[in-house]
Amino acid sequence: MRGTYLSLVRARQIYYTTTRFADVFAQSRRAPLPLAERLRALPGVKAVQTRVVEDVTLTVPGLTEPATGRLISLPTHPGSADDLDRLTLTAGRLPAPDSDSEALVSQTFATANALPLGAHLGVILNGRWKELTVVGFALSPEYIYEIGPAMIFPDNRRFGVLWMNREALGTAFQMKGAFNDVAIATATHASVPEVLDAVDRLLAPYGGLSAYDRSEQPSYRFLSDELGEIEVNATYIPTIFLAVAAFLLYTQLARLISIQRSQIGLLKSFGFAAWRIGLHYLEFALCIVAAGLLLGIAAGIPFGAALIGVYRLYFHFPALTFRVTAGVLVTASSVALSAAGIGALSAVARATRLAPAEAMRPESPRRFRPGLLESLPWTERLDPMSRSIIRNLARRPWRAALSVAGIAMAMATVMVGRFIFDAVHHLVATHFDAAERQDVTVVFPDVRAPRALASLRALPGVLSVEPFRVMPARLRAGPRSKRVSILAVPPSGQLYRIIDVRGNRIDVPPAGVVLTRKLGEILAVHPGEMLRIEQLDGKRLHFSARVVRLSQEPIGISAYMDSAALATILREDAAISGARLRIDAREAPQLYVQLKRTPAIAGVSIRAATITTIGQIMNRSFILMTTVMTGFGIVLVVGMVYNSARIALSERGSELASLRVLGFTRLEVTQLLLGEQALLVIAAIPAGCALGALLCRLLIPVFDRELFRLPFLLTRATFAFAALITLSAAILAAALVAVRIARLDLIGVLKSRE
Amino acid sequence: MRTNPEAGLWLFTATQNTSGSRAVQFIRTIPDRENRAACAWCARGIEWSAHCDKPMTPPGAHTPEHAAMNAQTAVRTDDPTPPVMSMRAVSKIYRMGEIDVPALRAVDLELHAREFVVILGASGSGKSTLLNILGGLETPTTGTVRYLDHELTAADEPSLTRYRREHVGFVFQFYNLLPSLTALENVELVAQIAPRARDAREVLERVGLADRLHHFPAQLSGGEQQRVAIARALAKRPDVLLCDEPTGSLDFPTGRRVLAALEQANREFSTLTVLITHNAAIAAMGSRVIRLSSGRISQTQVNERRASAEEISW
Ligand SMILES: Nc1ncnc2c1ncn2[C@@H]1O[C@H](COP(=O)(O)OP(=O)(O)OP(=O)(O)O)[C@@H](O)[C@H]1O
Ligand SMILES: [Mg+2]
Repeated sequence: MRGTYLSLVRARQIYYTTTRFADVFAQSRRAPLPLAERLRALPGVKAVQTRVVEDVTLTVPGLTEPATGRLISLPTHPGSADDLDRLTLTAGRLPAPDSDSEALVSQTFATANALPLGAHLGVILNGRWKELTVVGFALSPEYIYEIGPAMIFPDNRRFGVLWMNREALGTAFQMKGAFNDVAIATATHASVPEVLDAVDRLLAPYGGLSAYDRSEQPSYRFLSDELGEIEVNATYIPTIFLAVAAFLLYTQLARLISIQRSQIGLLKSFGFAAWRIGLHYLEFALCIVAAGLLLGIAAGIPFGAALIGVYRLYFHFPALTFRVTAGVLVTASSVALSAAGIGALSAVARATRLAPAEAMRPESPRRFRPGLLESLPWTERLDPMSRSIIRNLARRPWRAALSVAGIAMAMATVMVGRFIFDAVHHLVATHFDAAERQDVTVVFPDVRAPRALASLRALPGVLSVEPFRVMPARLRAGPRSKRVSILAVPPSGQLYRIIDVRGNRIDVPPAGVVLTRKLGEILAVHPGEMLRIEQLDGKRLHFSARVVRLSQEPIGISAYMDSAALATILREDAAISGARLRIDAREAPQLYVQLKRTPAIAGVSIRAATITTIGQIMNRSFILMTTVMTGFGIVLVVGMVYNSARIALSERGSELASLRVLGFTRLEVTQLLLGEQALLVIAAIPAGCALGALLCRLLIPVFDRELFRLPFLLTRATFAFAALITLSAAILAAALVAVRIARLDLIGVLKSRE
Repeated sequence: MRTNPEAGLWLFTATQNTSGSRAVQFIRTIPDRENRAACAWCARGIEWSAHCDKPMTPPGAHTPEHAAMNAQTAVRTDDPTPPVMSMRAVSKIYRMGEIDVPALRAVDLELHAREFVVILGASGSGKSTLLNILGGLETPTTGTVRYLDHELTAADEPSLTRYRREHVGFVFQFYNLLPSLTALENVELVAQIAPRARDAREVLERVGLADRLHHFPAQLSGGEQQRVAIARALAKRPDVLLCDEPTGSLDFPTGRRVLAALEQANREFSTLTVLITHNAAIAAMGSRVIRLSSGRISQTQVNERRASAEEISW
């Protein structure tokens, strides 16, 4: 697992280096090309690449809804020192130098829409319908994740990047001799914040939005988050697994030592030092572990490679291959060895503490004495079999407790897997039921006057329209700052709701802002405190606002304001940057056709599609974890129950065999032995529920991200699922042991003293 | 009514007469296909007269000598009923890789109700093997073993388990009590599964353990544990009590108390008892003593007078 994570990190590293992924990014309205020279001259700047970037509505063959395309100009001097964020051509060729209708399409978008080379995409270029021909597929380090406008998650069917010649785009968008997007590589020792400030100063006169570094670049940030999740998984799962494995080793060795205690005594009486005997067992344990390690490495490498295979489907790194580094092997081995060592040492310590004379005697006959059992009134009614079961457990309370703990731990693992699965689904459901309730979101290329709404209302199938204004801003609270979008919504808005913990609507306050809880934490502000807000578009006003409340939507982070209040502050006349629509599903196809043909729309996102995509992405991040956790859990329960039943069988085999001689059926004898295990499992289930809940609780902060936040939500179904899995695994283990019980040697038991 | 597949269908009606001994009538109903019945002594076929429907040999025996033997057995055991258990031509050969180890060779044996049979033999003579075969724990390599009209050699595992459960009481050399249960619970555990169990407390009182009911095995002496084991075996009201060296790991006085318990059980419950020992002194207790050497019955001896446990010493 760790190897998988490191391979991914390494692939990302290699990819970013070889493609010269930029360090600083900035957008502006329209900056003259010569400005690039001044940018290049800034201290700490190594390379500057200017681009023309525009979002347009695309008509994609086979897709009824409109898609959004991001048109990016190709570098004029490919391969030069200023060529940053280099493309990797995966198929086809570059557009012909003077062509204005050929385009490269991102590999992911092409794959998601099954676009062949030579496919045609309809696009409205500056008000005129145009057909583009796909001549090649490409990958870009800037768009490992392609996240469109007004999107939090990538949707590869409905948002894609297209690269065209600079000339063609320059003409279409009146950007001849100008640029509106710039990527900058900094020198190794440069101070990125200083570069950001300098870039901002230069771009400000040309409608520049504030520059940002990699950490705010959507694709980079998303990838880091996802790798972060994988890292958590890669650490967490093996830890649990190894802890349980050490425990299993301990019990196995303890059993071996109890069988061989007379030999230990004999060796001791011959004068062997305790440490030599201890060493012998330790060696033995290490041999087992070494064999395990070899097997583990042998099995682990293909497993890791398989995981990488799964991730290769998602991450489009050209250099993503599974490579086992010596470091990973050493870490894995030493972790496994120390886990095993701890298990082995404690068992060995017990053996070496034995005095020789004592060790040579068979382990003290099990002394059962009237105990707790007799003091309980209801035990009068128990049959002898149940009493035997209970007394056997009560005699070794520690071992019973350890078994219960082990099974509980395994169950907790299953539960965590299930919890994450449930929580993710719940998260998506709440977000879209309670917060984002629109069917379609339409984003304009820039801020529009409210009358743009009227034309939306006139579209077929539109039932209601709710405008919103998205204002890119930098929020500052003391030393902390964060670049986010301020979402201004009408106070009576129905299609977007600000919600509290329970998913209930919070009214947007007439003055002040509401922050997503997570954003409040990032900025370390509390309700009642003041916030500095710097507008990053338009007039670039600075103003202060009071934090009124924190909101609890599970996906994304935002700051909310009342649209009228924001308009007043900005002295705008109720400008809008998009609208949420509720539509009549039956008329959706006509609506989509219209939207595709509307030049004034930069992006359209469709609720159902968004939910599906988010579901898919969440699944991708978590499905492996949940299945692996569940799988491990099952293996662990089976292992624990089987192991503990086997120990019981080896200790009490002769008892059971004599009962068989006395005419007990296999079933009865099996009941006697497994009854004990059944009690352990039954005891472990509530413990597992508690432990599982605790582990899930501990995971909550780990999954408290900007992108999404898992709710701490344990349903009865989660518990039931874990309990059911645990029980079935236990039954499987029991069946394995039952086979052995059937093979008990009835005659042998009569010949030897136990 | 019992059917004997080899002898056709006979009705055995056993009635207790006034003198206390049993009179048995053999009423032959239908001769089987081959017109054969079985000898009550050796179970071999009985010759039938060709011209009438009567057996040539005395009823129930295939030769006059066997008729005499039958009579003698009747005298000996006061019981001319057919044997509770019988073995015919039983051999047991253990295969140890390439070598065959014969543990029993062509053993014929019958055990009757209420007998106290002592099987005596040197170590390795096959005593335990014999007992295990009688107890349905092992199957002979050749030969047949019967319990009443059931052929154990033809039975499957579940039926053998049922046979042990309902009809056989075992007493082992090493007691094999469940350490987690008290004396009483150990007896109750087994009594629970038997269809006609005796009261556990009562049986324990019979073997002299009335004041040890709630002791765990670890709190009992070896002799006491063995008596618990005997009580456990008797509690299910077995038809046959099989004891493999019950005094093997006990000292003399303790062993004697255990033997007294067995003797008492045989007397009071009339349980057919088979006791294995390599201790010749114990042989005096048996109503019949069978000596085993190298897997064969070398000698059968009927004790006219059985010594009581008190009279024995070793
Ligand atoms: N499971 C077995 N596999 C191979 N040989 C066996 C097995 N059990 C018994 N034997 C052999 O069969 C022979 C008879 O064994 P058995 O246990 O019946 O003797 P025994 O008369 O009970 O002896 P002891 O008095 O020592 O208990 C011995 O030679 C023994 O080695
Ligand atoms: Mg023996």
